[in-house]
Amino acid sequence: MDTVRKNRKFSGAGAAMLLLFTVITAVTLLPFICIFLASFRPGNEIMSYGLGLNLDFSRMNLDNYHMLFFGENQNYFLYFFNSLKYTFLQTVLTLFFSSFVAYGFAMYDFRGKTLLFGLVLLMMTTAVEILMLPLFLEMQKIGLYGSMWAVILPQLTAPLPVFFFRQYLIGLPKDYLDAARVDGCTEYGIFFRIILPLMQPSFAAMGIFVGMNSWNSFVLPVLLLSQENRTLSVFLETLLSPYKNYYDILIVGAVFSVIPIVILFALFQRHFIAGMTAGGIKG
Amino acid sequence: MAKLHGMAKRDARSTAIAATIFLFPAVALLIVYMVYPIIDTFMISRLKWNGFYTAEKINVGWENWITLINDQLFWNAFLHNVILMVCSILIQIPLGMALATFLDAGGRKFNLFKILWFLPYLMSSVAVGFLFYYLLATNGGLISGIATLFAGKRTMVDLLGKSPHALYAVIGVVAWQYTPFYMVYFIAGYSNIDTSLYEAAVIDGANRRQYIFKVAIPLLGPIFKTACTMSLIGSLKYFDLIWNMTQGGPTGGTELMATYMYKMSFQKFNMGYGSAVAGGMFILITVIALLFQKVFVVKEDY
Repeated sequence: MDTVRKNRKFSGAGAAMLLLFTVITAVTLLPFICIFLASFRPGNEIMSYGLGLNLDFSRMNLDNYHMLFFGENQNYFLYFFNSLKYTFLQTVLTLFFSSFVAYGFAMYDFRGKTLLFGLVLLMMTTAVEILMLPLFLEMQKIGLYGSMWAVILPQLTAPLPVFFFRQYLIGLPKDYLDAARVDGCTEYGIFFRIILPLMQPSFAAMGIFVGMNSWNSFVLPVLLLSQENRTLSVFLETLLSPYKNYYDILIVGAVFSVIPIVILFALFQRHFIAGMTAGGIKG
Repeated sequence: MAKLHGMAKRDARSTAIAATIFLFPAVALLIVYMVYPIIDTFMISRLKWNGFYTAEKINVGWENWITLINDQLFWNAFLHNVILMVCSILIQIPLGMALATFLDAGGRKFNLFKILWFLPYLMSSVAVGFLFYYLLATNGGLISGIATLFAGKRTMVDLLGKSPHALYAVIGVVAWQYTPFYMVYFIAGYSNIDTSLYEAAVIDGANRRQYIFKVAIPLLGPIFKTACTMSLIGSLKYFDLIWNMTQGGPTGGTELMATYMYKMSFQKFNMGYGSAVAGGMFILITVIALLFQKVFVVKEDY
């Protein structure tokens, strides 16, 4: 009887579900498929015909890829490497400083704590988009303009990681700390030797999040980086210039720019979701 | 307050020092990269200045602010931000929640869909903007291609070229990009719910649908509010996708506050007015976010 019910369920609701899942997956993936197909076509075709699903095998070739790897415009991999370097530095430093600050908020009580924490959350509101102009002027004034540090420093304590880590730390039993204090461990020793190792699952979740955002970051890099320090998304944006025809490199470049982050996510997606859960994203 | 003994006093002091050290980076960064730039924004907003250090800075008082208040283009941009905000909250969050509900019901066998459906969020706004600009191209783009297929004759759908559609087309693209983020957020929310609650509901005779609507969704309340707050703030300060896709066009049809500010500051080099726009943006976002918190988030749990 049980099997009969299961079968009937499959024919009705199951078929509808299958259709729904197919539609959602199609909406999600079609743009990716279009750009992948376009990467085998001459770059100027995209300008005149747009991106579609036309499969004309006679016109498809690997010229764009050849141009990207062996063409004169070798800069792509310089910017690719810049992006890797920036993403690595930003992620490691943001995770460290955000957890450091979150520890301060989670473990100590003092006057004005709620106010200060509110100010940190205000950072979420007053983001770089609003402060573009004064940051641009400030970085020129202090001589950081053009260097990668101009982009990294303002984002060392990111609101979401601070919020998330604090939530995670509040969930940890405080007995650990008292036991360590009794054993003569200093406050900093507690943080470095006990708390940091305990925070690993939340580091995985936020590491993916910060890494993804840094890899794709656009506003601050386009504003503050000099030409030789540009990241990939800024470089791709310069290719969008309507006056020159760089579309062949742009298409393949865009395809390649997604690959590292997709690999990263595919490898760590379990940690990402598990870590978000462990952080108790209650809000 | 009770008198502290020597030992306890020393402990209290060392704890206070430790707290100060742990919070120092946050406070320092807050002052250097937040408080100072905000004050600077309001200072520059009272100047007439083209941004070059050698150029003259003329103090014009509140002139830029008066212009801003009467600037129809700015209020149009603000209206677009509000439309984007309302649509984002109404589309992305329910959709993200629905997708999360499917994936949660399916469990581990839907892991592949979890990755596939998350892909749009992994792409940079530059790439998404470029991609959709050409997908929506009238001559052979995907949408026109599909329309041609259904109409049976050559049909051109011009979504980005005309004014009211362009904004909604952009809103659709934003939804495509950000819904996966809320999906993962709600997946995490679902897995936070104790499995014993599901078992208890089943024992009490509830089916899956009753469990979702009567037990799970009410428990997701706080997550729902945080998601709304994030979406609200995100839509009001939105910049990069629009900049890469339409640059605010056609003729201001998709102009947002941030793109307007960028144009004023970095294309017209009117730093004073650009700063006034940024200041206005700051005030509007803060007020809307605070009102939202007051109205919808009754109790904060920190």
